[in-house]
Amino acid sequence: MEAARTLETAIEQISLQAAEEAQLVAELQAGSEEAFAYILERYRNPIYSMVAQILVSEADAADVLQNVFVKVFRGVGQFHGQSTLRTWLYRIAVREALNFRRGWFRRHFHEPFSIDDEPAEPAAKLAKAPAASGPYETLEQSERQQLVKAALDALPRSYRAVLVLREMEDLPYDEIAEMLGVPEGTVKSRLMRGRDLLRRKLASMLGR
Amino acid sequence: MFESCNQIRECFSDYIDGACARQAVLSIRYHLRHCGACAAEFERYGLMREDVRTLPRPKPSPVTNLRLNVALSQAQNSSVLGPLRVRFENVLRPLLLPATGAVLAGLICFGVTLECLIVPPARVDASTITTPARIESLAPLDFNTGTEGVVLDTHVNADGQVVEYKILSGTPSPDLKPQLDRLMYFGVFRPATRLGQPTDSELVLSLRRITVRGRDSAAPAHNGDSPGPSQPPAERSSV
Repeated sequence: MEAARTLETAIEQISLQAAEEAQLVAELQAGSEEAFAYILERYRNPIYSMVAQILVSEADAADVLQNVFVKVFRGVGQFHGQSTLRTWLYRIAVREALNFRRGWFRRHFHEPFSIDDEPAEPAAKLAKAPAASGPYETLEQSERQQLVKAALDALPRSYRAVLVLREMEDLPYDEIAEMLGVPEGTVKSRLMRGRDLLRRKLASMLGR
Repeated sequence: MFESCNQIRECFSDYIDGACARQAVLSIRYHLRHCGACAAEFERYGLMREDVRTLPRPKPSPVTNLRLNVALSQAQNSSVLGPLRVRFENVLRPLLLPATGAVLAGLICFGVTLECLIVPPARVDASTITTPARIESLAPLDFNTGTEGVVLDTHVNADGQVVEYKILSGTPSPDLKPQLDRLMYFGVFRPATRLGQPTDSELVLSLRRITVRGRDSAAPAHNGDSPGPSQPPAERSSV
């Protein structure tokens, strides 16, 4: 009885969300600036985070973020609701990230960076890190995260994209498959190989 | 179900995500309970997932947000013809100064050349535009005009013929009218002209008969006078 009530509440919430999203999409397609500002505010940070993890470079992620939202702005009229708005946005972002700098020149061209940028020193991250049990633990956690990030960045882009979407964005297999335009079986195999590679790299780095 | 630890470990990925079949899940659970190596491996899988999940999420910098807003603003205000118009202006703008200079130089050259080529209009005297009627020849007078003579106001048409006349002064006599008619009829006149074309005009004639001693003949004197824009010179004929 309790389970049935919970299920009913969940269905109501889903239908309510679907109605809200349909209204939001209608406003977007009508050219509402407020609706687009809402989309921008809601999805800018998650999409940037995901793209930065896939592309490694935050400068590239900024370029991709720009391209993604310009494409969304221009192509929202072609969105017919076959998927959720979030899936559609993420699909554009993932494909834009995977197609970014595919050519030889793009792969080997590196944009100049400013010396005024924030240095990536452990001490700087120490101030930002959440309050741990002590400074040594915080420093150890920061260094560990750097190693994990380095191991993740060392993976091939196709494996890294699947890992990011699954582990960090917590997306189901079918949505990942739709975003990448591959079958679910491919997602599973890439995920398994990506995890295995990452575990081996971490094992060699952390000595476990 | 599984024959070795390797087979079990290959399924860890699906097992973690809950993508295994029920039978496989039960087999893996049973194996992990009894295999220490696989349990340790599975624990490392969990730690690795935890490490990846707790990675810090980068956020766009204020500069990135500003660039994004600028790009969106440009996308919002761009049109299909906008880039074409900009390209067109970019092509034409460098040519604008040379083209203006060329047009101005052309105008100056044209003005200078025109001034050299055009002949200034000649000063035309009014007397050359219109010419008065004149007497070409007149028959001899064989009638008496008296001492005062006879002054006639004649109207000469464009064909050089006297169409009418009026006696302004003179001694009237019964024979005078037919004599004057004959004189006008046989006289030859050159019509007045205006801009080179013959036209009607008035001609004043002064007739006087002159008798020369020793000969019985009459020498008429007749003067032509026109009231037109210029006074005709007096004509004189003798028989």
